[in-house]
Amino acid sequence: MRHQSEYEAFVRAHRAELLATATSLTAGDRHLAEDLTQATLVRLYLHWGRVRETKAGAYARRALVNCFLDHRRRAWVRREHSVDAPPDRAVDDGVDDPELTGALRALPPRMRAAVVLRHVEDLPVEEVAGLLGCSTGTVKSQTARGLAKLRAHLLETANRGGS
Amino acid sequence: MSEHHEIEGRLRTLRPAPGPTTDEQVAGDVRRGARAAGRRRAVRLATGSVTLAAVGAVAFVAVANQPDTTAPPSAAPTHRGATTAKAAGLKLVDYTGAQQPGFTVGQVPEGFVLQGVSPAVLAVTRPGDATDINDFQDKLVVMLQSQDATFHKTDHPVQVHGGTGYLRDEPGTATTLEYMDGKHDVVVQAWDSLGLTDDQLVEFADGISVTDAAQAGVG
Repeated sequence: MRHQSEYEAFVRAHRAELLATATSLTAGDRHLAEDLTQATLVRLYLHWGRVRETKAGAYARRALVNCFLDHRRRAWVRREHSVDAPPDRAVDDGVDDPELTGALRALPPRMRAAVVLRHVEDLPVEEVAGLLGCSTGTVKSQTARGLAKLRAHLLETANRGGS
Repeated sequence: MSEHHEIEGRLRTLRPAPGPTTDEQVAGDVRRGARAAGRRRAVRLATGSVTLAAVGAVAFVAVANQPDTTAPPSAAPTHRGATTAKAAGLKLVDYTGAQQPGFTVGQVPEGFVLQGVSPAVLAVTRPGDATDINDFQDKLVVMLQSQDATFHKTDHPVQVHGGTGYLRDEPGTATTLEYMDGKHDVVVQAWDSLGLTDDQLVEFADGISVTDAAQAGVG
């Protein structure tokens, strides 16, 4: 019971932050963000005994990043998303910057994760490297390439709109 | 450079403000977690039961001095050794059917067939499975990882194809094994409902050869 009450307290305190991060990682796909958050919290529940005292926040964030990277290579996600009726609103409604969000969506998943964690979540390079399981040099190169791709995508979109 | 700074500034505004967490959401997360923990316990119990049954059957055979044919199938040694016995009673057998372009298969779970392939995916299923090959539920699948993906290590390394592969367990869903075969980043995934053990997943992967007809995707 103590296990469960502690877990509940963690979810109450941190769920919204995880969902916000998931929404950034998915480039505004709120339904997928909710799925990833739920999957992350299931993993956390299963490992609560080991991580509850000192590492729950870090574990949850890392699990969320892994869930995001994993979902791109798992077709079972498509089945889990099937519904009887179409959603009554667009999945990316309410995003503040649709052009930039669209450009983010076009990035490969690990590059997108590096850009989002570094520049949207504003995490230090070292922490991003820890979350992605790579070196700080890789984070720097991925974010630099990601920013260049975003810029190129935005320019292309602007040129298309102006022509 | 200033354009990069402008993009960085725009990126910082993308993060949505965290909203409130409702009692219903918390209850849902607890319910899903408890359910996953229950499924995990059930799988462990089932695996333990089979192991005990196998030990009991072997003891009975020894005492009664009966031939091996009295032992249940799960206790019978397979052609690759006793480690392939598992919870759902499946065992790996040599595959003798037609191969598919892109992949050759050495073994499959007994009674399973090759459902089909795409350039980067091979699906192994029970006969009569009419689902799309990209729907992986209740299947054993071999995938070539995207060319843009990074090899994903976990804290569960295993020996496969003469090198190190990494197992990842998605509780209640599937177990994946990722390894390099010298040329390709390969992911083998077994849905939990099959009941394949980690050893069997590795053994299946050892029998897979990826040919030039297979192609990893991008993105």
